[in-house]
Amino acid sequence: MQMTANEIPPPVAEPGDAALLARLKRGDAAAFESLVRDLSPRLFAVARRMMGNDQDASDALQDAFVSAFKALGDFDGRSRLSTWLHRIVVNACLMRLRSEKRRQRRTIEEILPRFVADGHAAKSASAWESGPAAAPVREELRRAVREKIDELPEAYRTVLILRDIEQMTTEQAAAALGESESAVKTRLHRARLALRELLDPVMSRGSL
Amino acid sequence: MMTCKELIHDFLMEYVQGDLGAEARIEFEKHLSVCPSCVRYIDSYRRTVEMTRELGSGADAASLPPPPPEGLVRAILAVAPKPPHA
Repeated sequence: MQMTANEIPPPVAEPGDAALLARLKRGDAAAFESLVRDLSPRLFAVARRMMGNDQDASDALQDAFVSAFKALGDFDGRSRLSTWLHRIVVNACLMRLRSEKRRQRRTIEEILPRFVADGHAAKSASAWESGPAAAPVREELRRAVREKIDELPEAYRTVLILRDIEQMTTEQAAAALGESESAVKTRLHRARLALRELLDPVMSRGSL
Repeated sequence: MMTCKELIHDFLMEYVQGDLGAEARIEFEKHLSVCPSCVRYIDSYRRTVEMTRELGSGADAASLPPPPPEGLVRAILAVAPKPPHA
């Protein structure tokens, strides 16, 4: 069976976590080597999805491991090391996204669907291509989805990535962002609506 | 009757998740029965969510992300804690 980056089972397996953790807490260099080499590919993929480029992802991953190394003494081992580190990487990315002056994008209002005064859609929705697409077309579509997600305003892009790509629950995303669950729900819906608008020219029947 | 704007802005997400209350659902579906544009819109909204989820689900096999650069791995290892007596 073919494995992908997201399916690679964490090599730091559950039963071995306690032993590895004990070695890490003793400062065992080989244990750190194993931890970093085994988990960094998956964690780097998470950081790339959140940050949008390799340089920022590298910086965030480095921040995350520095934080994790400092917090290792307090880690009680009740969750898996891979889960704990995933959360730290997400938080490191969020910190960088908050602090960086990211390139200006359009506002969400500029992207969202428009309606006329009586509440009808300003333009009739077009039918999207359906059915299985050939592999190169599927790859083209994935690229388009990634590019369009990158065009969303930062706050909306972040929520969409946490909920729909990283598959966090509303509760987890709200905790990571320090916001209410209702705010996360509203923003996720608007992010999806905006992404749908951005994908419309690519996906409308006859465009592929 | 529910408008396209209300349907899309206020009720669509709960409808797609199956969380819409019975009364709102009846109104929602009444609108769909006379508005082919909103039927197409909902289909495209669902597809948007599906395609986004595929990026994180492992279905993205054709575009495996590159591994972290070796220099980055070494930089991380360089700041790993050392044994207390080292």
